[in-house]
Amino acid sequence: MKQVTDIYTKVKKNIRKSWKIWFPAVVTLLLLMAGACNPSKRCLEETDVFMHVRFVTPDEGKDRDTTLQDAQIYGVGREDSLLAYGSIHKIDLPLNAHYDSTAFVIVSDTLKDTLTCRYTRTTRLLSFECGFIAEFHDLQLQITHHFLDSVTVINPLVTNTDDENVKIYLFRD
Amino acid sequence: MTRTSKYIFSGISLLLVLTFSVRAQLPETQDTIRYGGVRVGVDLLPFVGYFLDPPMQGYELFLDAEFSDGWYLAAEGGRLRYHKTEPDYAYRMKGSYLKLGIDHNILNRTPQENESITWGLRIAAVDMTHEAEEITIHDGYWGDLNTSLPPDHLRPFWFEVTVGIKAEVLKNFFMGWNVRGHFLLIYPKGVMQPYIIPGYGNAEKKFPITFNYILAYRFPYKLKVKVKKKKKGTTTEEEER
Repeated sequence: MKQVTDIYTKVKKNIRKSWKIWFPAVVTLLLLMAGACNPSKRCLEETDVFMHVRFVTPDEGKDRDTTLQDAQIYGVGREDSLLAYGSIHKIDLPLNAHYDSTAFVIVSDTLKDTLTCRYTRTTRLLSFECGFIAEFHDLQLQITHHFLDSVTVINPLVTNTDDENVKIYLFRD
Repeated sequence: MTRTSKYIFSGISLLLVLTFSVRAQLPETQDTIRYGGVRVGVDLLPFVGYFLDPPMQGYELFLDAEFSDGWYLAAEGGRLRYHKTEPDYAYRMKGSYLKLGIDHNILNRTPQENESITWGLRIAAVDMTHEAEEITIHDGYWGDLNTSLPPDHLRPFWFEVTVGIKAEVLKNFFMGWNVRGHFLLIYPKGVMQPYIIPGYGNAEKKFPITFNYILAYRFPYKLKVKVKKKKKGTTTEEEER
């Protein structure tokens, strides 16, 4: 401890002796830092908010990624606009910020199921550059069971991150 | 105890140990008399900030008074407002804050020297409101959402650790800077979470670091600190006003 305090005392003595040199240097450095800290006026964050969904099949205690064949996914009320089609093993679904629930139709071959999402909506100021985003909390899900077995909420907060929110289990062949 | 709390506690402990261990080594020299004072100053960085980000307007005033050799009562107070209108939102925020605490000068000075290297602690609070209107959240599938958030009144509290220097560049004129680490104690709950808390910084950071660049004038104050010679193995200090 004595060595530490000796070094500390020496440093203080030297600082005091030369403060008229280092003080302006520090001021200059600080002003340069202030200039360098000029915040970018562009939005550099992700502003899109999606519920990230993955399709799986239980296989010997593990979840195996599964691809839906000849699939179509669209929102109830937006039958004219497909969110995805073809072979799908994961999808990013947009929740409706106008209402407290959103329903999606998932079609595979000739079978059709409905995924209903209920949530609490909030609006968050992401940053002054990016503006506001809608966030969805306390996510709860229901499905019908024509070819979908069950659904699990992994992360009940749907926001502007890439975190997986939902796993949908298909019936085993 | 969180990792941040551990860092703060360790930092404060180290400062206290260094302060008292160095003071314990002071030679018991002749009687000295040093004049203290009340320093009143202003933080220049908000004015720099105005040029970098004009919607951000504010000021911060600084005051400290030496009440014992090397120990200061310190206070800072300020206002900050932010009005910004963008195509997708109009945001208004304003708040006034006050910080109270102590600073300690770790330099051993002669009576003629007034420069300082200090560490300090603060407890701080802000009274703020913010609101947002004409918010548009773009949604290419379900349609854009137009909404607004009503005025929200918040009173966050926080704790600060500061380290800084001040030098007397002209008689009774001081320049200096300090670095502040903020630790939010009472997080604001409201309709809309704030993005910036006046006096604190970015509300989304757990331990934001901010800087002050202070210009201050000292009103010489008749505080005399008299240190008596060691007598019979004991040392006494007395203060006279």
